[in-house]
Amino acid sequence: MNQIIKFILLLSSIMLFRPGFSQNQTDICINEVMTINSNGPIDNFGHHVAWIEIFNSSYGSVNIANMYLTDDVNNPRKYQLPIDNRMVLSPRSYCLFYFDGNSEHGVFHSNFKLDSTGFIALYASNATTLIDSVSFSFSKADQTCARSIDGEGDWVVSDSYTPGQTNETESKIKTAELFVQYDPIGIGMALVAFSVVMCALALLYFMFKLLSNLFQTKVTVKNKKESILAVSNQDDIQVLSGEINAAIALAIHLYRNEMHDHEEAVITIKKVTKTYSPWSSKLYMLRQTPNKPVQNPFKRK
Amino acid sequence: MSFFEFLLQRFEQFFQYTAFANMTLGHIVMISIGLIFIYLAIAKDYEPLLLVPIGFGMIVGNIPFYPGLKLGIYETGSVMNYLYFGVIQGVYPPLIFLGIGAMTDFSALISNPKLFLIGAAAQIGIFGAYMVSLALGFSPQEAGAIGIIGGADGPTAIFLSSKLAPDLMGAIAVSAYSYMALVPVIQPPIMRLLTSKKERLIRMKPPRAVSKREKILFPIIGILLTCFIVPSGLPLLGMLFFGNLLKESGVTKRLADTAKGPLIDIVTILIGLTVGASTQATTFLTTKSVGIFALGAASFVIATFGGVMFCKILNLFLKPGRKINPLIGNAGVSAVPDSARVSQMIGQQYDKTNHLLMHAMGPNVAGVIGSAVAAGIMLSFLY
Repeated sequence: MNQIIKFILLLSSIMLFRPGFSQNQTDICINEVMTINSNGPIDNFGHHVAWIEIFNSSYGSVNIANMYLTDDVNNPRKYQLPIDNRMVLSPRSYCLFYFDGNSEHGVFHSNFKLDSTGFIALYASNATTLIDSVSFSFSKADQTCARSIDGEGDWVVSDSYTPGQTNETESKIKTAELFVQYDPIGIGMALVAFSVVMCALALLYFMFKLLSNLFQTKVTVKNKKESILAVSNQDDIQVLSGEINAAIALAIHLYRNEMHDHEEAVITIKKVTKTYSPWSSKLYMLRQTPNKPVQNPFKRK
Repeated sequence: MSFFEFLLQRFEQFFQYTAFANMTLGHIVMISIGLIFIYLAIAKDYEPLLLVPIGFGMIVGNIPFYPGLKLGIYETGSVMNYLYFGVIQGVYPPLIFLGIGAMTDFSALISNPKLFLIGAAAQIGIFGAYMVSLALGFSPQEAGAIGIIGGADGPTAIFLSSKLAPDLMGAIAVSAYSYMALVPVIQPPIMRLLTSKKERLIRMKPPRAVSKREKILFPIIGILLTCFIVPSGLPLLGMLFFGNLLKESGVTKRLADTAKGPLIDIVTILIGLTVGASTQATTFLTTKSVGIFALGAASFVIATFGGVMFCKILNLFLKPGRKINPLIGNAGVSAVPDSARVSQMIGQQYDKTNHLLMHAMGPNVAGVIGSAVAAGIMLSFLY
């Protein structure tokens, strides 16, 4: 028994202290590149060096350790990303790699430099699967080549740069930021939006109120013409209880949806006659005429 | 390396691939929640059509594995990832709305159009939750996605959160469906608190018969009016009204039968399973998720409050004999038909012969339209 408890404890400890990665390296992509860096972001040594931005496009953590960065198509294994806790990218997050040719400066510094015109590729940890690549050419300093939409947009050369941040700087973020700026508690948005919902449904209310009046008027006129006699019997009309109404409604519903019992046979009081026809004769249906069995001549009587 | 060492090494590698080697406490917690969902669905009959796929999806999504084998829902190229595409890109919710349109009878609403306004009033839960979420530090997009839980409409919640806050979608969907299942628990105390005994005994005028022509005109007028005001609600409202036209036209019975039968069943299976599987421990078990659950409950309370109070206010302007029983106000949230059933249940507790179900179905289906319109507005403001 003790052994079972020990085993369970051991298994639990393995489960509890293991990091749980369930993501794929194919969700990683190159998101932004800057090679001529004169006034752009600085690395942890205060130097302006070429950099690229890596983006995790998935909604789960991805470990990018052991993946490869290269600027040479024939040599995918040029720089292997080191094994480090910081190589686990959280969902929809970014990280920068500096290309100063000095990998001793830290895990985010590669062992080669990037030229102003060239190519950068990211390979999976098997060094054969190409994950992402981009060719670039910069004419002046501090230009970047970036995806218009994080992780999926077209590559655009721009004078503005957003290291470690989303490239979608225009409309989307602007709207949300404006809301935070002008309406921090959301009362304006809530009032406007609620009024729109109310207006939309109030319009439907007025429209159907109008329609209902129109249809009811039509029905009334029709009824007046057709059932003058029924007016004399007004006193006989009884108010039906809810149960009776429900039973009638159910019966109509079943009838309309053809859910009532369907009788195959026809019940009639007429006499059913079966006239003889050779086509329905049992005799003509047989494939062989049955013979009387021949009696055994040797049987003793 | 001897054969034995090689074998041992392979075995070690195999162990690395097993779920036991990759399991964390979070995975165990999420699998347990999945099992609770399945239990509630089977034993307590709480929204079984939704909770069984979601609960099982939670188990599927939280069986840990070695990364890179194209198994997980977030791994590009995996089967689950392909199925999840319909959720991320908002494909499934409009298809569900098509089925809902094909199976909904709007007669109660057409016969008494006042009930439209109750459906609109109950949407206050969405905007109330939006404000509270902002105050708690959520971004405007996240707050919008969380607020839509108050609409009590799973597909709408999934649709909007997939656009505004995809990373919160799992928590929002699970929260919305959980509270929809708990409508019979959440709403009655609020309804009793806000109404007097006299109000609960109000008998409403029986709904008039609605002609076929009116029923056919409803989806056409409905889409034209609502989508001209809020075009961003087109994917949901368009499909809802299209499905209803298929039903009411009377000449497309086969299409209507498919929309309300096999199609909605297939999409429900896919959406339930993938939303459940998307609640992986690493993305789901966060403080944000706890906040979302708390805000979801708050939004349901505000929505119920809004619906019931609006009925009471409306009664101030209505003549005797035309008054509305405020117990149908809760049905303004679009949890069809559960919230209408709650109205009937509570009404019966005070008067056995007062049947509120048909009346409550009016605001209930108006709530479906209202929450889709609200989602459209949120989308156009915050996307």
